[in-house]
Amino acid sequence: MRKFFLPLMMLFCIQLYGQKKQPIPIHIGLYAPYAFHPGIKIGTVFSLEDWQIEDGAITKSRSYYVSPQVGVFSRISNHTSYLLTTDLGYRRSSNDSKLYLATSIGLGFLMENQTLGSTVDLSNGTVTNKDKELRSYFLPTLNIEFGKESIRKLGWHSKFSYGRKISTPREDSGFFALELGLRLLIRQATQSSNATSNE
Amino acid sequence: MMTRKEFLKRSAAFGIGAPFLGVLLESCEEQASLFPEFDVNFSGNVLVIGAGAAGLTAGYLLDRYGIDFQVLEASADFGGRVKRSSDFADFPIDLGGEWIHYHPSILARLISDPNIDANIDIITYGPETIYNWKNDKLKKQNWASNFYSEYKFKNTTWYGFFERYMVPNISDRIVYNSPITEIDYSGTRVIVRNAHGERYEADKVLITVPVKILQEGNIIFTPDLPETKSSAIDSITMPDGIKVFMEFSERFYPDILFTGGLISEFSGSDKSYYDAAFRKDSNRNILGLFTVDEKAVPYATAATDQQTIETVITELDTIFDGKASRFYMNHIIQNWSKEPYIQGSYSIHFDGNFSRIVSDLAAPVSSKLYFAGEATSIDNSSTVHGASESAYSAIEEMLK
Repeated sequence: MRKFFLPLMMLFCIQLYGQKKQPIPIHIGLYAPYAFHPGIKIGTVFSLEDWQIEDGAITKSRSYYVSPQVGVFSRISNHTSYLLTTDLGYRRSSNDSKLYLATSIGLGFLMENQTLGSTVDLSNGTVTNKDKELRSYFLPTLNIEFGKESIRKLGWHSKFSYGRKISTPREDSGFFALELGLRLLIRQATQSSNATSNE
Repeated sequence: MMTRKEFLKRSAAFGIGAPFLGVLLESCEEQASLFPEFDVNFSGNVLVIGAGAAGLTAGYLLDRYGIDFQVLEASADFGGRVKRSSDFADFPIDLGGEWIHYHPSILARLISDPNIDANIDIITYGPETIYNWKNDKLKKQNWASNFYSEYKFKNTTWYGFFERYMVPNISDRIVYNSPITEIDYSGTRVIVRNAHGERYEADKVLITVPVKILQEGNIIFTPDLPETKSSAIDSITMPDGIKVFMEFSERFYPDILFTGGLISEFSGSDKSYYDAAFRKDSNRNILGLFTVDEKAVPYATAATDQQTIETVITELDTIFDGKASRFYMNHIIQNWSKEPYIQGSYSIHFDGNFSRIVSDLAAPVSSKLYFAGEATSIDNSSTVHGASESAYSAIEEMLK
């Protein structure tokens, strides 16, 4: 399932952008739920509405956006988790500095492949994970993101998410995650002249 | 090869990203040498005092290297602070050391036999429901489950581990009900006497008794132990410790319940109620209480076991609105403070420089007395595998 899940979602996102004939902003970054669970997350952003505000000599951009993302992270010897989430957010940026600040709410679906037990081969110490359980959670989050928009083809972003893992048969638990990564434009615009600010 | 300690030091120095710390630590642990080989330049006989984790491991190694030895155990059973109840629940319960506080491959290292054909099932012990009782309020803190995980045996216990993989090789060398009271190392050979006046003689003696036994002066050394050794012994606190297991007709408790600040509990838990049947394939509701140090005092020093269980049930009733007494069925208590040849839990507090104290405690005396046990382990004190590993160090030193 892991082999198909991430590529499928990325193809879906790219297809959406392909229809708009705009550059495709891709966020790819280190994803660290609970700060210590290593993972990666890939996503894209498309604007729902953009507008600009003139503030003296400074032009500021505002936008509402949707950001679908997929991620995978692991807690060593404990679980591997797959995340599909979509953020609905509001972003403020300055056209001069290209720095932006975004706040968003996310609704995610988290699948956790939990290792319940393992077997130790006493002849050589090899540990083989044995009992596993696939668990599903809804993952609503509040997110705050700070970064620099892509200049030509490269920018960066950082993000903090806080939410709750919700599952009917299990008790809820708090969730937070840190993210740090790059913003890439993987295809230049063919029509839009303000593609970068439209991300 | 980089050791775990070296890796931590270098990581701190170079600021390696925290998210990948676990991955790298894992690989360090798995690369550690599994099967050490000792140089053997000794052919005399050895007495091992104590048949706990360290004593059994020492006997196991001495047997492997063909050394003549005996293990003198004070009580009627081996194990020391490793003990099992086989009939309280539908799974064996560790009445003493229970968790595997390390990567499970440590079990292979302790056995150190590449020809063994055996596997052991391990539970990933990661409690999912975590409650904290503080200031008369019960709070769910399940998020903490993402920061704590250890291992436990699934179908056996630490006692069962030693029973199956080490004791069979040395069972005919263990002398039970032989509490040692005197060790005279003034001559060329060491003379050892037990409480029954029986005399043993050996070229070298490995002492693995709990540090509390040494502190209480239950063993008289002739001549006295060196000042550095005595000072190290007196610098260690081995406080009260007790475990209580209760069976309930219904489950009303979380996977683990702390009674204090969560961070301090995780960093050195001195009291917790926990689901002892967690991932054990059990149909029974078995709740364990594990407590050491000051928090153990009210339970460990109660005059009778009845008073202890009443104290525990009353406390649980307060936390869970009377459900403990309503669903209570049965209990079993292991009060380590009242075990005559143990007298406490394990070494916790070290008054002074930890490394120096442990090194002084583990240091041989006159190339005749050697010391092992959890208190002599610098890297893994207070643990079963630390006690067992300390025997490797002591025997390696002894056989040089």
